[in-house]
Amino acid sequence: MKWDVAITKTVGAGAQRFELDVAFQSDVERLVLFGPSGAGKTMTLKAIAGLMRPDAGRIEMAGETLFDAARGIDTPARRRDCGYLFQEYALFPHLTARQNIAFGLSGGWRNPRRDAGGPAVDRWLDTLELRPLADRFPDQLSGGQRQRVALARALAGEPRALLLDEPFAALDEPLRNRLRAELAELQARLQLPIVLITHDPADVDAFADDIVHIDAGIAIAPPAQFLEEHMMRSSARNQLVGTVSAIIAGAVNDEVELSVGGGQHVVATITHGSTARLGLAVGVPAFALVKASSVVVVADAGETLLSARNQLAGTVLSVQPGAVNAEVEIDAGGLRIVAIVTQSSARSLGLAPGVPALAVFKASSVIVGVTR
Amino acid sequence: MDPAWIALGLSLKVALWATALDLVLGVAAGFALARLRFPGRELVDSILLLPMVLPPTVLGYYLLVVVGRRGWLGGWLEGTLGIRLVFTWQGAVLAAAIVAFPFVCKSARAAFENVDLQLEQAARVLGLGRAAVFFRVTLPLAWRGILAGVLLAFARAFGEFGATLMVAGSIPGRTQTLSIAVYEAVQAGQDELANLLVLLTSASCIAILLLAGRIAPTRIPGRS
Repeated sequence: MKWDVAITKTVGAGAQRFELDVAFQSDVERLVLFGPSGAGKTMTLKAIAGLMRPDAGRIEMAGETLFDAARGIDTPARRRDCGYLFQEYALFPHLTARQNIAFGLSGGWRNPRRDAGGPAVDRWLDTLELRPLADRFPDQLSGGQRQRVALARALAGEPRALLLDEPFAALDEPLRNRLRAELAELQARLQLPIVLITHDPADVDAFADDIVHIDAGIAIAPPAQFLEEHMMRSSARNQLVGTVSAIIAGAVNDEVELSVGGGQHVVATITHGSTARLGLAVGVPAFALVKASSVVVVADAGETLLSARNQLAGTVLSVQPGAVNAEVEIDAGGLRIVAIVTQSSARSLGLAPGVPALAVFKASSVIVGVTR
Repeated sequence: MDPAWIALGLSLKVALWATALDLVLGVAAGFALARLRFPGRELVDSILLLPMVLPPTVLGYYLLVVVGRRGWLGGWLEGTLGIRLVFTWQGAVLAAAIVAFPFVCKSARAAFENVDLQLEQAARVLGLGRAAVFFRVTLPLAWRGILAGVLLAFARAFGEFGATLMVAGSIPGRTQTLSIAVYEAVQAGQDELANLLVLLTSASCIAILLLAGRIAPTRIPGRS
């Protein structure tokens, strides 16, 4: 289990009293804590980083106990090895971008020199294209540049996980979209576990492999309803309309097969409760929703065996390059499926209109809905 | 050497020592008041600021009670360590340091309170221990505010009169600082000496202010 958190904390008194009572487990690479401002998300993230000491409970990261009130374990923040991106970035105003990035790499009581170097500093200056800005102070940087410096600073020490507090809230809309894509690409490249907190559904769309909904200090376990509602609004979706052709009931989850036209079938794994709530049965009209970012494109499936249950064969209709990612549209027997892949994969796969391709997605990434 | 120059040298020596003492103690006290939560914090703060409002003669009297030859600390100091503070330049340093202490303490507290706690948290997450966070983040960011207080403290210690006179007396060449020498000269009707001393004091103060303007950075790099 990557994350196993169960903590409580009470702060303030009287009308100012706030109780945090959050518990969640997750094993995904990208976890999003979602909820309105003031719900206790930042407190939760700071507890994970060791910056806030819970009253009770425990925190485990990748099997290691970082905090356990009962056993008296409380690893200090400096030894938890978590990168932390603060909401307003918290760059040291008296140090240059380069010194900020080198800050955690040297111990002792003296700050790194103005010309601090080393492979890690140089690598991050290059990776995040900060070299021309290396000698600037934080107040000489734009919001987006500050975020990149803060990111480089957090990553330079090669942390075991990256904690992000509303990473895009301080930016304006167009920049937000670009940096969101950049961060998603960086995360995928580093394979670094992240916990991101946000009140912005667009962040959920871009980053959530799993989501914990925190409201008024309480983690709400089943976010299914929210996700469904959210997906309905989202533009980056695939909506495949059809009828239920089979339901295989399981102990917790049901496997629902939809016949979605063009002779294609889509398999979805949803909870037992959802099947009942939606009134799903063979023959009932329903639709399947799949995030474009959940769809994997396989160019030559000749001998490859994939575990994903949904594999729709077709040909590429169009490839639309964006800033970082490309949107690939695949025609699978009359069914149009949109996939978002990185530009580099689109290039290396040689994706172009007319190329045969397979659109692949897991049954667990499909959301089933009915229209009433 | 001319007694006026000796008095000037003594004043500078006393003020420098007093300021150095205040720098260490005032920064420590200011930091504790800004960052630690303990019962009676505001009471401690008020007591530490008392020297600012109490008449210097009252402070001098308190000092005599504590470090005088029959005072509870003074008797012990002289009996065990052989250190005498009354009627010595070290006594003058103590008096000046106490009178000037609130300037450093108050400005240090305000400066530390102005440092964003999130910056200290960022440093901790990046692997720094408490002392390293203090010397690499907190102190550099609070330094400008502290320095302003330190310069005021130096000026106050340089001109200190009442408490110093009560504790250290007015022994020419040993404890007679510039401001005390002015008083003595006027009392003795030595107008010529008084004129010279007053001119010296004024010139020194202008020099201190000019120096302060050069030392205190008008702008921390990167901060407008």
